[in-house]
Amino acid sequence: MTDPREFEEFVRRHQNMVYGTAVRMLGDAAEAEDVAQTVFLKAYERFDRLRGPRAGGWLRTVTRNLCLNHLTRFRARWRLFSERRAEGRRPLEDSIPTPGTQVLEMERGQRRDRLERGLRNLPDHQRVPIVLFHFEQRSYRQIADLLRVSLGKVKTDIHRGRLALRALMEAEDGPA
Amino acid sequence: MDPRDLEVLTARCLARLPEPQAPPSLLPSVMRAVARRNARPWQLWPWPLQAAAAAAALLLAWLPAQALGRWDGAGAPLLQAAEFLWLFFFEPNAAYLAAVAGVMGAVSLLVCAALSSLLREGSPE
Repeated sequence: MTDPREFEEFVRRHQNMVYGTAVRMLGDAAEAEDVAQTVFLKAYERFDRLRGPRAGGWLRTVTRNLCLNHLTRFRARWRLFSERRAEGRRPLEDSIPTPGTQVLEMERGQRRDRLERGLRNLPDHQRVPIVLFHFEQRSYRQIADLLRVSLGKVKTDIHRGRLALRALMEAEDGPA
Repeated sequence: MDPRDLEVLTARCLARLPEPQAPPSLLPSVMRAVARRNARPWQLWPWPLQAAAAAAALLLAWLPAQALGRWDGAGAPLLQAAEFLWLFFFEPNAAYLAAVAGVMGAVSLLVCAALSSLLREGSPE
């Protein structure tokens, strides 16, 4: 029988990683919270086998797969949501850490917030492959397989997403 | 900008992003869900045990039914009513009822297939 306090500590230790992965994949704080809860419930069911150092990897993989399921099953379908912009979503500012108090740190923090917000507001078909490439260290080929789209589409979407992020940063800061 | 440079620049910028913080509501909601799950411990059983429990439950339901079948309940009014319904309504119309059920099933299948193909039109290339 799982000790609830031990499991609570486990959730506390991994919640930022699980939630962070989900919120970047989904671009929506409320949906990310739902997915994170599902991930931890699955973890609870096999908690006896998850106490080792591989728990983090397992959690990350399950989070990623659940997010992809969520994107394909619950948000219409790929083509539909790839054309959809983030509308009616909960404001993301709530879930972004507040920057530090010092001015320089504050500026850096604000810049990061803008980038984080820009990333999350990218359309799904650009954000998801970018997150898989830059945060999950997946290759273009692996991403194409995961998303069941062509390699060319993955490369194009990632490139356009990067251009959009750069444009966003330059628009606010001037060229880097 | 060269795509390779853009990749490096993006990687550098994104690598500086701090990990998003989980909202304070996540941990309590997970623990509440765990408590709800614990209230139904059979959901945590391994699937062979769940299957065995389901089989045992079916057996428990089947045994009294068998015993009832052997019981001579000719005098019971409820059984008489059921027998009357079966003999005068269901049995003579069994073929018709089966046909209606079959047609309804086929129509449901067609509707599901149409919906599925409609949804698939929006699926990845």
